[in-house]
Order: sequence, then C-alpha cells, then structure tokens
Amino acid sequence: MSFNTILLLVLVTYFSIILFEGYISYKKSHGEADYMVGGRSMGAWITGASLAATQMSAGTFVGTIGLHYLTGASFIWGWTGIWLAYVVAGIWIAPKLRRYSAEHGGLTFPDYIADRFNSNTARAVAAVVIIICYIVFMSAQYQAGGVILQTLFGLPFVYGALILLAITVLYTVVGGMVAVMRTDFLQQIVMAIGVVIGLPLLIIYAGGPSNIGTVLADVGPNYLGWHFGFRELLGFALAFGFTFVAAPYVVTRYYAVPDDRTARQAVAVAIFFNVLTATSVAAIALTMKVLYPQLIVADAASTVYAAQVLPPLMGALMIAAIIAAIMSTVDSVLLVTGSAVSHDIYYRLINPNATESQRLKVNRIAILVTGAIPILLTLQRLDIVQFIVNAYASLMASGIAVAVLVGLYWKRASTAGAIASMAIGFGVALILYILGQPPLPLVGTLNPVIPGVLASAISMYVASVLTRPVPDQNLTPFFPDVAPTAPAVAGGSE
Amino acid sequence: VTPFGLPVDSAIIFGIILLAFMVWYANRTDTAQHD
Repeated sequence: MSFNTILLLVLVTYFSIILFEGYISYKKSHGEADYMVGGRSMGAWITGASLAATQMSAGTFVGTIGLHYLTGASFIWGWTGIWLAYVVAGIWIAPKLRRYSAEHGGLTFPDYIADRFNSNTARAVAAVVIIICYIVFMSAQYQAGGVILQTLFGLPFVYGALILLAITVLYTVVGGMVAVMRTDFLQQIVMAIGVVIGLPLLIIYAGGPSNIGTVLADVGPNYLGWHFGFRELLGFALAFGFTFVAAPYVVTRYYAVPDDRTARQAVAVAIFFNVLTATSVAAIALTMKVLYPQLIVADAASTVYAAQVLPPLMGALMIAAIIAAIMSTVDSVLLVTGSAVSHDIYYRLINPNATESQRLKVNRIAILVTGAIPILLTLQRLDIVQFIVNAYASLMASGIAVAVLVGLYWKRASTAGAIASMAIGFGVALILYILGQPPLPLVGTLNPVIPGVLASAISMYVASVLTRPVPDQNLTPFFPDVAPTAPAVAGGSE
Repeated sequence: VTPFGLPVDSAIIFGIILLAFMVWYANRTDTAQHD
C-alpha cells in the first residue's frame, strides 16, 4: 500500500474514534456545569494530558521542528518557560481558582475576572480580548492543517482547513468540555506515539548518535551550542511562560478537577508530556539536518520526515500526531471562545433571565459561529503559522496574565486596575506588533510580551492605588482571611 | 560530544528536576483539609 493510502486509513480511523468519543461524551453530559467544566470531576491523567495537548499546537510540530532545523539545539530552552509556568500555576494559581469555581460556581475565565473585580465591564473587556485573540489563533491552526493536507494529498488548501474545522466543531458542539478533555487525552497519546515511535529508526538511518554529533558539530560553530543567547532564550521563555501561566483554557482545566491534589498531579502529567515532546521534536529536527542538510523550507522538515524517511505506518502516525495537535488545540480554544460569547456576553450582560437550556443552545450556536469565522481569516493567509501563533501568545499574555496573577495575591487590586491592566497591556502589545518596535538601548529588541506585561503591571498598580478597593465579599472567595461582610452583589455568581 | 550537545541535555535535566519536584509536591499535598 502506498503512504497516502495508509495515511488515509489512519486518519479516517482516528477521526472516527474522536467523533465516537464526542458522541459518548454527549451522552454523559447533563447541563451547563458538565458542558463547560466537565462536571468538576476530571482525573489527573485526563486533565494533564489535556493541558499538554492543548498547549502543543501546529506550531510545535511544524514551527518548532523548523526552527530547530534552522538554528540548532539551543531553542529547547524556550520550553523551560512553559514548564516553570506549569509549576507556578500548579502551586499558586490552580488551588485558588479551583476552590473559587467549586464554591462560588465560576464557569468561565471572565467569571473569575467579574467576581474578583466586582465589575461586568471588566468581564466584557476580558471576553473581548479572548474572542479576538482566539479567533486569530484558530485561523493559524486551520491554515497549518490546510497546508499539511494540501502537501500530502494535493487537496485544495481550503478543503483541508474545512475538513478539520467541521470535525473539531462537531465533537466540541455536541460533547462540550467532557468531549474536549477526553479527546485531548487520546490526541495526546497519538502525539506522544507519533513523535517517539520513529525516532530510534531515524537515528539509525543517520548513522547513530556519535555520527550525528560529529556531522552537526561541522554545521556551524553554534549549531549544537548556544545559537540563541541567554537574553533571547529568556525572551522566548518569558513569552511562553506568561501565556500559559494564566491562559483561559488552562484556567478552565483547573475548574474541572475535583481537588487540589488532582490539579497538581495534572500539572506533573502535563510537564511529562511536554518534556517528552520537546526532546523528541528537537531530536527529530537535528537528525533531519544530518539526513537532509539543504531543505529550502525549514517548516517542511516534519512533513518530509513523515512522508519520506519513516516507513509508511510510522509516517502516517506522525502526520496523525500533527493533526491531533491541531485539533486538540482548536477544540479547547473553541469551547473557551464559545463560552465567552454565550455565558459572559449573552447570559451575564444581555439576557440574565435565560434558562439553562437556552444558555446551552446559545453556547452551541456560539461555538459554531466562532469556529467558522477564523476560516475567513485563513483564506486571507495572514502570515506564516509560527508568526501568527507568536503574535496571539504575546497579545493574550499582555492582556490577561497580570489580572490573574495580581488579582489572586494583591487584595488592593481594584476594578479600575483590572480594566486598565487588560486594556493597556493588550493595547501596548498590539501597537508594538502593528508599528514594529525600535531597538532599545541596553536591551535591544524585546518580544512585545515583555513591554506588554510591564505596561499591564504598571497600569494595574497605578489605577488600583488611585481608586477604591473592591468590596470584601468579592475578595472572600480568593483570600480565606477576608470574612464576608455583606451579601454578594453585582458580578457575583449564581 | 554528547548525543545532542549541551543545550538539549541540560534542558532535559532541568525538565526532569521540575517534573520530580511537581510529583513530590502533588503527593504531599493533603487536600482533605481544604475540601
């Protein structure tokens, strides 16, 4: 059988299992809490695998392999920001958010913003930041999927993107969070198998570790050493770290676990899958450099690896891993975006009297619509995939990281502080992307996330000290030492 | 020459240390007092 036939069989099997899983999850879900936070009863392995699978996207399997191929070993240190962010989140963020969700009924990321900062305006700002960032991000994922299917099957680009869109939207709409997390688990397993399975063979083809080391040492003086310096790697690590420490889909994972211990074990599982993938991806890219030193498009390294180096079945699994990375990211992002539209904008701001079944219906429609809009952006082919992913990550982190981290640990953080930090942080990063950034004295050109987060933090501090703190009843869910003094009011949960 | 050079080796060791710490930390957490 040819590679394409085997690949088609693998993909059809994989899509069928995922859709079946979506249907099972639909049967298991009853009501809004199941649909949006998995009934708060997800286990550590499913949650951890889901965190890792969502974080790793087309960027990881196409962009990161390409970057390693081009620049050598040192980029792997960019991942350490994500690993540290998981540890910080597992110890300092997840427990507080989990308890808030379990005891005060928080379902979405903007729920936290509204409850902590006592403001539906802050809720609206958070929801808008999420919707804009994630629509841009999804367009990059569809684009990557379209390009891969086009390269392999000669399918017109837009059909490939539409097929992935249709399958992902379908199981997300019917199954909600339960389907997203359970399919993420399966997808993470496919990803782990896909990147690990062919690696020993690849290393043998390239003449074994010692030959690889010798050849790569001749590629260039820094290929095995520090091509990126400390400052650049710190920039990557900070950008990734700030993005994942408080990403809305990460926050809703913490809402979905039953206790603190499960949250922390889930973080350990996520780090495990991340380290495994980071290592394999770097090894694949560096070994590909030995076998194919002259690829013109570095991003093609992973597809060439799957289609030309590996035996057909292993290659097909590698392609399935890339598709799994795309779908497991898009499903989580869809759910968060759909909830921001239906729960935060429709239910909380427009029609507070909506019944639960009306809300669920709106949620499903919102997922359909927010899943379809990015395809319009995809057709424009904004930029290369990795650039769009980087831009989204910086915008998201600059908008919301400070509101999460500071809001959980600084009682004085006020309504005005939250709104200013989200709007100004997001605005600064957006302006730096649109206008480009002049190199600064001493530090040179920074990743926009660094000035963005700094501006966000300064705005939070200045606006908070100049305005009144939020009432005590809004602090109680997050600071156990603050006793409630009055019944909960605006922005409070059900 | 190590198989893949200094950055990869050291990053893996760093990641494994973080993972070990997180496993240890997750298991020593007593959730009973919170729930």
